[in-house]
Amino acid sequence: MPSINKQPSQEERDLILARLEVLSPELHFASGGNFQDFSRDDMIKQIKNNTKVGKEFVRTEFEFLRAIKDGSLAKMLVASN
Amino acid sequence: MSRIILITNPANDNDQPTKYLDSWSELVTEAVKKQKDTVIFELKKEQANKKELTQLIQKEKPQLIIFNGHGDDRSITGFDHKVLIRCDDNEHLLKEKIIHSMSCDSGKELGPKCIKLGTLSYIGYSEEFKLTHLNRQTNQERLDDEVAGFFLRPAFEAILALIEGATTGEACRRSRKMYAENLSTLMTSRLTEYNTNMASRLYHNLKYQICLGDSKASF
Repeated sequence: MPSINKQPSQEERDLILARLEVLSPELHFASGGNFQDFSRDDMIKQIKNNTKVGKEFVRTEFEFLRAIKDGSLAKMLVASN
Repeated sequence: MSRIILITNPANDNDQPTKYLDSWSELVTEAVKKQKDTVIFELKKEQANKKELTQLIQKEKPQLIIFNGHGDDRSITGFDHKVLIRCDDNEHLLKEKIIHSMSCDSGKELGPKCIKLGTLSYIGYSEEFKLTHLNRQTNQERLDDEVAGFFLRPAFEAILALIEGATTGEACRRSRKMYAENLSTLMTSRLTEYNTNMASRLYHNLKYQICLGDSKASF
């Protein structure tokens, strides 16, 4: 998995796109920095076009997957309960 | 002596995140109604500007300030994305107060600076606050948005706890517990059309929620 600042590979982006494509098209994603909302299909375009918004979306996904893998998510859940 | 709250709700046009925060602030006003000694002042839409914020803080001396808006490392914004509070400008206005800031990134630099200058406690987010929602258009529809609820209930839980008299440390614990419960629910849900991505964004909010300053401070 990429580090936070490393560019994800095409294969890694494809994995995120596959996860995104199974979501409901009703979902909208808001992130504070850009004052915009993106529908599922808009976000797919952002990732495919490798925009700043798309990169941030991918980074968040990989951060989560990494936390599952290294056990930090489980630790955080235990500590928060 | 009354407990005084100030809340900003810019609810910008074409800006669903601030509209959702505005709609969900109804939870705050309902919680305040249950407290006999608590008064709330709201700066809504165009009123959420630097001048009115400054005047209200100086005149009413709120002990708890809730910022619902956008932000960055060094600032919190109000209506039309204009700055309300900025590092090395007017953060001294927040001295001796408890702050809850639902604005992206402001926990990174502004929050620590406020604590250095005498803010009692600063609850916020040191990275982007992620929100996933169903793009509902009315206040009631936004309140009923079950997807947004996964993100906003835990975030607002900290505010509700403060209003009920919890310390800032306890308010954060209650919020984090709810984040963890929602995350567990999503990760074990069979509703794959929602959960696969929502969990990652909820994890992000839990990871980057911060509670700075005196964890024993209460409102």
